[in-house]
Amino acid sequence: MNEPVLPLDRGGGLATAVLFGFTAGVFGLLGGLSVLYGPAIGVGGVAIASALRGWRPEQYRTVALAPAILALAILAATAPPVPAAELFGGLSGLAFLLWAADDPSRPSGGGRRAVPTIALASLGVGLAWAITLAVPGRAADIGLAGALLAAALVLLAVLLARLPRLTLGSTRNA
Amino acid sequence: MIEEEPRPHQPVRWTSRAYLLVIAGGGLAAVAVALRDPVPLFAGLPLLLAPLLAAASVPQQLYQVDLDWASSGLGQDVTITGELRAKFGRHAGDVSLALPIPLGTTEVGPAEIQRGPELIRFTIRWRFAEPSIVTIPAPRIFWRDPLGLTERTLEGARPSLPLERYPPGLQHVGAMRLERTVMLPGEIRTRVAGASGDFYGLREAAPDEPPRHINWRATARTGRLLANDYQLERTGDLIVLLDTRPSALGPEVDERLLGVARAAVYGIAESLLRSKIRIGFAAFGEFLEAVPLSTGRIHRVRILRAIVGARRSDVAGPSERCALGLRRFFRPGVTTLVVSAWAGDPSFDLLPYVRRQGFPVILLSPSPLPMFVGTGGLAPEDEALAQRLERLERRTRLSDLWVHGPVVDWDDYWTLDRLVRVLRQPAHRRVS
Repeated sequence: MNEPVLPLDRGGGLATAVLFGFTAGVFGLLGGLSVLYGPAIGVGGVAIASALRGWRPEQYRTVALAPAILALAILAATAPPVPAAELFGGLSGLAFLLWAADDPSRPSGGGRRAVPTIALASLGVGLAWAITLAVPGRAADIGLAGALLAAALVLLAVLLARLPRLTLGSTRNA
Repeated sequence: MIEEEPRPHQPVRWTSRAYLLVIAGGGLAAVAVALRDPVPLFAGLPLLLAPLLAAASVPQQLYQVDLDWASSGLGQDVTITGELRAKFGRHAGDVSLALPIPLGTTEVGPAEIQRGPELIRFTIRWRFAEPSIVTIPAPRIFWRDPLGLTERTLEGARPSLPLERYPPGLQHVGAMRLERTVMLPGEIRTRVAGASGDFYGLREAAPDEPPRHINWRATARTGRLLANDYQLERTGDLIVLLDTRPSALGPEVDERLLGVARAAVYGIAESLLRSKIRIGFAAFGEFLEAVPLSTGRIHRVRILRAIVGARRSDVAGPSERCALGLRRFFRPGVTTLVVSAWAGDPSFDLLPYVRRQGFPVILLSPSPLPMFVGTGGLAPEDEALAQRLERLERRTRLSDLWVHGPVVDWDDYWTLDRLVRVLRQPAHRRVS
């Protein structure tokens, strides 16, 4: 009786995988790797991750994200600091979120429902990109990165301290 | 008046995905600082923002969902339809229901689901591989944000769902007149045919019931044909003995066979009790557990609960213990249906011992062979030949038991016509 646990209706995720693959491919093309390797790593990472979560959606729900994140990290670490690479780095991150929302183990239409959240995230990315364009030099970028790193560490500390739960709002019935 | 303390509802939890995104985003920001390169920062920024935005989008009013569900369908097919009621609003698409699928059951096509702001309707179709009696526990219903970073288990009224699937032919077993093998106290059998004796009760009329037997007042009251039942005309009693001992087939096959046997016993008991036939039940593992002969609504609940609760025993008790235990709970002479897979060891066999204690026996033996079909990795023609040889071997072994009573080799799980035929023909049951 305790074998597979299935959600009611499952999503597809193909369209968002194609979008994410395209964005990661372009990001790879603009990056510091060769014209062949860059897009191959981007598209390959997305393809492996999509195949993994399509094969066993329930079991590899979280693990399947790892190849895509790894590909994104390799491309980002090797990319030259030019505005186009910065823009496509941000777009790849946003496409990753859209792809992650369109999970086959979840009710279908996750990508569509995640649009308001992703729109706010894209606002943040757009703002950061506008700052780097407006303020010349790399000091602003590094300052922003340092602030975000500190914020990430604080957030991680909060998450780990309150493991395994985070209660939001009232804990009593209205 | 004491005011009840409001119960705190389930908290919102971070999923493992949220931790992964924060670690990845933080790592990319660290790389940006280390390499003095803003590109990793831009790639990691959405990953860092997403958990915060997900936490901000938690619907505060959605913490309780009531489930109302029912099952329908015939034979192997089960259709589960249900409704989830709550104020979902725009979050209906983020509500999931985790439903465990019983062992040996397959999903037939994807689930159908309609989502509305206050109601979610769903239809799930399953197919049972073999007869079974299971209770589907209340499913876990949860909300998870579209990115899958935060989740909350939703509370609410959730009944469990009993599913009963047994061979459809058993529904009519109750209409059959079982041979009376035990005389009532003070009863003297007469050779004169016809109705006699004290009034016992009402029963469903058989299709060929003579008009004189119909109780027309009761029929008018209930709107369906009811016939009088007299003490001396009553059908015979039946004891069902379920063998729950472990066999040489292994725990997994034993469990499946016991599930099939339980379903058959359940169907037989329910059908006979509907016709007010007295029925007793005993399960023998290491020791005998019995529900004495009786009929009526309370007995129905008691006996069906005992059947559903029968589990495979870890230790096999000796057959003599079972037979002696039966004498303690039941009067000798009552027809006894022994349901046992009987794996081949003669000392394992209950029939001679039970019969020696004065109980006329019928053996219903669920065959394990259908469960092994296609597991040997043979070519189709070899598979057919192997099946045929195995069936012949089993028939040969079972034929030794015919000296004790009729034996029904049950290899087609969705029909029990052979057992019905044996029960219908009293001559077959008399073994000298």
